[in-house]
Amino acid sequence: MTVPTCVLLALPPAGDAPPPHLADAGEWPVTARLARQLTRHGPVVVLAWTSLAPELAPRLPDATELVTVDDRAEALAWLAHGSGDLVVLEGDVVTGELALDRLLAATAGSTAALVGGTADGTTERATDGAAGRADGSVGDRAAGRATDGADEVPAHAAYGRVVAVGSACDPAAGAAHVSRGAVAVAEADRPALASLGAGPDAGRHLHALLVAALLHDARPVLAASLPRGLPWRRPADRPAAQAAADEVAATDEDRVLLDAAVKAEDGWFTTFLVSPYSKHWARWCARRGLRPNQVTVASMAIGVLAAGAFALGHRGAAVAGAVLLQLAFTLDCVDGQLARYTGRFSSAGAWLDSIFDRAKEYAVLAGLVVGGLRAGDEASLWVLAGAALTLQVARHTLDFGYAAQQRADLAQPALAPLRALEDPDAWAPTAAADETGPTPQHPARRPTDAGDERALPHRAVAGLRRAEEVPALKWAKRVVVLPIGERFALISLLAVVATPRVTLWALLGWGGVAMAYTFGGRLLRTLA
Amino acid sequence: MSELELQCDDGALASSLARDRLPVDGPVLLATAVLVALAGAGLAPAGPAWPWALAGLALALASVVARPRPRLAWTRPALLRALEYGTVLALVGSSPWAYALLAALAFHHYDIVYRARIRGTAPPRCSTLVAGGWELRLGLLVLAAALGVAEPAAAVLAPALAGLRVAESAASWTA
Repeated sequence: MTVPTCVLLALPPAGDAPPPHLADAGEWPVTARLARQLTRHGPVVVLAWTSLAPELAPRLPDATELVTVDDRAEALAWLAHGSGDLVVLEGDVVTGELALDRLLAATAGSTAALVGGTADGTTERATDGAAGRADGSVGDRAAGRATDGADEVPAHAAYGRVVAVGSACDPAAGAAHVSRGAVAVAEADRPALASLGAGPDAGRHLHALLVAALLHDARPVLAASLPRGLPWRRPADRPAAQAAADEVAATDEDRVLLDAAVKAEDGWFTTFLVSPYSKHWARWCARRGLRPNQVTVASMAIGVLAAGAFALGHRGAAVAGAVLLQLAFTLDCVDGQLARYTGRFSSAGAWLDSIFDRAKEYAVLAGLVVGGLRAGDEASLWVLAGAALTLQVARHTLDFGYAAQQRADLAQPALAPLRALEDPDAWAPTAAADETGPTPQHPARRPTDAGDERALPHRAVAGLRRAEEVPALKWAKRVVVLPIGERFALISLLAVVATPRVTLWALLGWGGVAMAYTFGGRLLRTLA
Repeated sequence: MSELELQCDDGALASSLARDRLPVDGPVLLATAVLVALAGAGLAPAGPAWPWALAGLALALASVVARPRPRLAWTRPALLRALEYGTVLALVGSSPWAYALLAALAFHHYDIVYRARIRGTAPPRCSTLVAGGWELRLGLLVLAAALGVAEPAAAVLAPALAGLRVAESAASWTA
């Protein structure tokens, strides 16, 4: 894989205020500081207005190349022509080296834009109060957003892809993402950057124009995100720049990484009863050099032991089995958290994690049946277990089918601006262990539907959306859908206090309710 | 092949029907399915499940030719799973081999979906042909049930399918 060239954009809008790129953040001006942080990763180029060059040039580190341009078209042309991958950052970004390491690792070799959003708590807060500057065709939507007036570019990301940016975003769909100022462009996609014609200056948001150009040329743009809580600021003036540098220096990066290792949107049981301690196990594993795949295999082995314990049939063995099952599930959470904490993702690991989740569940159900048969129950237990398996397969297949249809809709560029939002965690491969099932927070609207806003499906969906914003209801919904944490907890509990037959019927009953609930919601959204 | 089509796990028969190679249309095939079911019910002694399974299979094949509402196309893979797995349970009954076959089928289906999502690859055509697809597997099982050997058939199919899937998956990951 080739080393990408990092391009820093020092193209601030012409105005009275001194540009933040020259403001001191600690010892160095903002752009020079960023350049120094990036030089150890590879070649760094600063793309600046000709008027800024005299002030900027002397303060840049030696290994940096300075390229001057006179207008937007020239800048885009320079970016579009050339060989090698690019990572384009706005030159006024103040952040730490860890964030840059993670950014480069996450975007290596691909075309991606860095997004943040309220869903993962990384929306930038205004540091300068300069609300809603109309910076041209990209920025003029910023004024319309109901945030704290931050000067940022709205973006839509769904299923791990950036779908729309800037004025192409539909504010009515409740854009919860912002484009944070970094875009990676693979070599093959660079020519697309010149596809937008001449136009107004993009000011501080040229990176968003790059994303818009890529989307306009129907190139897939992945949505990359940083661990929640890592500082990433775009200060607008000198005091803000200094404050941002201080913030970066004061960040406890290990603490941030550990907290960010926990999935933002997970089941209730996992979030409140497992993750608070499992993340410390993840850190322990990291310090001993254990890899996520090793933890995944250990989790599977313990799951098989749990199944074996259930198969023995008597109460004491059932208690042991329950404890082992909970241990296996905790390790199952640890492997994903370890991967996020250390930043080591692998597709084989994600696949193994998902397949072993299924295998554990099937082994445990079989163990329960064998134990039940030994305790004197009838062979029809096999049918019950098969039915429980079938129900879960049907539920997951509904999830997969719905997601496939959503993704197919998104792939059509003409419909791109008006799309449903999805879990921003979808970027990391571990999100493929898609347990809670992606249930969109917002309806998908097709532009061909004139859409009778007063029709029952529309009202029902809007009502559901409002209801989900109440925390108690949001968590209640997460429990009702019986995700893997709740399932394993249910099995453990009932194996101890009841018979396998009762456990299987409970899985079927609750699972049936969960399926009806999820399916009903999706049906409404599809027909709305 | 779109992601949704991949998830349906159609075999050779269903794929060719979907591409309208057979010179029949939906209503005709549906009528044929009903006739086949009645004939099956008439021929078999009272009790067994396999004529109903045959009818279900024929109806499902008829649905391949009929055009479902495109908005509900996402439910199709789940319906096919319910049909296939439910039929296995109905035909093989209270036997560990029924469960084993379901587990093997589940591994087959999940592997296809997870690999498509994580790596963007689909299994090669020859692997899909050998695995049969839902309609050919079900046809085989219905035949076995009519001949009274459903459970042994499941005992053979389960490890065969699992073995095929493991081998093909390993080959794809190490390729």
